[in-house]
Amino acid sequence: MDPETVGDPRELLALARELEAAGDRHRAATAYDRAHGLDPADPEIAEARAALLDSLAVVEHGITFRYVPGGTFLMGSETGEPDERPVHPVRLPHYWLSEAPISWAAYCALMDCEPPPDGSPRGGDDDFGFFLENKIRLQYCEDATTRAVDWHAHAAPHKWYSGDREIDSRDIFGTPPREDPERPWRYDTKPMVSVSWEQAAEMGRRLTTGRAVYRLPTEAEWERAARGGLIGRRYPWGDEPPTPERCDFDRFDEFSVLPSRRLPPNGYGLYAMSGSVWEWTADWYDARYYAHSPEADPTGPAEGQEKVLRGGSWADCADVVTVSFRMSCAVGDHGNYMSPTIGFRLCRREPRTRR
Amino acid sequence: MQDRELKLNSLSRYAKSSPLFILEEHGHCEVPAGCGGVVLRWRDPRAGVPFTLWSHTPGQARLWLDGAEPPSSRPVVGFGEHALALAVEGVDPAFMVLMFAAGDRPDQDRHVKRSAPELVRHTLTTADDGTWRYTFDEPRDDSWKLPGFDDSGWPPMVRNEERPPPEDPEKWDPAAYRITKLTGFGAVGLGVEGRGDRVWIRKEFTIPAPGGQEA
Repeated sequence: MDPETVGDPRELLALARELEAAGDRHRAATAYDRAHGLDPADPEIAEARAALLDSLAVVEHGITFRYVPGGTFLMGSETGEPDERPVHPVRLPHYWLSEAPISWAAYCALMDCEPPPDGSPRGGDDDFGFFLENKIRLQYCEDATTRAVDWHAHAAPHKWYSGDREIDSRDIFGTPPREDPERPWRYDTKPMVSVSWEQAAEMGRRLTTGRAVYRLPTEAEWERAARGGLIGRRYPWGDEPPTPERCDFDRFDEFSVLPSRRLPPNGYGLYAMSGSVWEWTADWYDARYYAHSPEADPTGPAEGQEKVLRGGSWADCADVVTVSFRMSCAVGDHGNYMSPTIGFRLCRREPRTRR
Repeated sequence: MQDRELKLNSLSRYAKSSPLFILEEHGHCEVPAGCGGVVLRWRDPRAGVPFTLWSHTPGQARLWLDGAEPPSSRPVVGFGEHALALAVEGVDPAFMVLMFAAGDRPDQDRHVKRSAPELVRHTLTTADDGTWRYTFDEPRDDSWKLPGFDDSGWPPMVRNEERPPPEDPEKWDPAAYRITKLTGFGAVGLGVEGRGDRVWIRKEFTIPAPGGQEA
C-alpha cells in the first residue's frame, strides 16, 4: 500500500508500524509523517513518528543532520506574496538537513580555516574579503555576545597603531556585552553570518564523498523541512503568530543573533527554520517559477540573477519569517551577502537520490 | 553599492520585490554591520513609520516615547497619538536647551535604503509654536510622559539660539556638528525662561494613519 494514497491517520499509523516492523524504515517514516500531518494532535502517532525520525538522524563531520521523510507536500501560500503562488504539490525523496544553521566554528573546522576569531584560510594568501566578513562574525557569531556595538571595532587581532604605539581596538571602541564575561570565547552555537552563496556551496562540495552528498537545499527541500510535517500552516509550529519564545525575529534594535538551539525545534527536529538568519538555497530566484515548477524534486530555474534565501532573520517582521516567504540576493560579487542576517545550512542526500 | 540600488528599485521577476513589505538596508555607518556590510530588515509599512531620532541638548538628557525609553534611535512608531518626553539635567537657562528632529527623511539619510516609499511620511522638529512645553517642577508621577496629559499649565518653550561657548575652541566641537545637522532638518533651538538646573519637557504629536484616517 502506498502511504501517499491513504487518507485516514489511524490506518496510516497501522501501515507505518507494519512497514517499520518489516524493516522498511523510509516508507514507514513517510507513513508516520503523513499520519501526523493529517492529525497532529494524535499523541500515539506523534510519539511513534518522533522515535523513528530521531533514529534516522545522522551525525557526520560533527554536524547533526535531521531526517526529512520522502513524500508530497503543498508548497507555497495563497495568502502570502504573489511569488508564493500558486500552491502546488511537490514530491521529494527522503533527505537530511543540518539540525541548525552552520556555525562559524564548524565552517572553519571543516573548511581548513584558522579557528574563530581569526577565521582566515590556512595556507592561503591573506584574504581581505575574509577579514571584512570576520569583522561582522566576530560581533554576531560569538556564543555569549548579546549585542554588536560598533562597525569596525572588532577585527581580530585587535591591534591598532597610533604612530609606533600599539593600541587595543577594544580600548577605543569598547567590547560587545556578553551574557557571562567569565565564559570562554566560543563560536559554535550561533549561526555563521555574512556568508556568500559560493562559500556555502563550496562547503557542501568539499564534504561530499561517495557515501553522502552535501549541498545547499533546494527551495523545495528547504520549505518541506521548514514545515516540519504540518500541512498548509504559516509557520513551522502552526498558524499562531511568532513570539519571542518561538522565534528569533523582530529584534532589529538589539543587533544580535540568538544561539540556534535556544528556541524549540520544529516537527522534524530542525532549529531556527523561522527567523534567526536567512538561509541560502541552491535555487535561482524567479517570482513566477511556481506557475510551472515540476512536481517531482524541483531544482529551480535553470538560470537566473539571484539565489533564493529563506526563513527570515532576527531583524525581520513576523510576516516575513513564514515557511513560504521568498527572498533573493545576488551572487558572484563581493559584498552583497555581507550582512549579519545571512547564513546557511546544508542538505544531505544519499548518492542514489542525488539529482 | 550600485547593484544593491539597482536591486532595490527593480521590478524584475528575477530579483525579489514585494508589494506588501519594505526591505531596508541599514549601512555600516549607522548600525553594527562590519566594514562595508549592511543589516537587512523587512518591515511592514502598515505597522508604523521609522522614526529616526536626532537631538542636542547642552545638559544630560533622558528621552521617553509614550512612556518608554526607545530601544534605539530608530524605533518604528505606530500611527496615532504620541507623547515625547525629555528630562534634562545640568541646564543653564541662559543657553539653548533643546534641538530635536525625528521621522522618516529618506532624502537626508543616505545610510538607509528602502525598496519602496513609506505609506506615510512624517517628521517632527522642534519649533517655536507653543506646543513644546516645559516645567522646572518635577512631575509627581510618570503620567506626564504619556499622551493625554494636561500640560496646559506648563509654559511653552521659546526660541533660543544661544549656546555655551565650547570648552576648548581648538578642539573639534561635536555639538556644532549636531546643531548643523539638526538645523538642516529644520529644527530650531528652544530654550526656557526662569531658574532651575533640571527641566522636564514634553511634546504631543500625531502620526496620521495611511489614507488620512486617524489610527
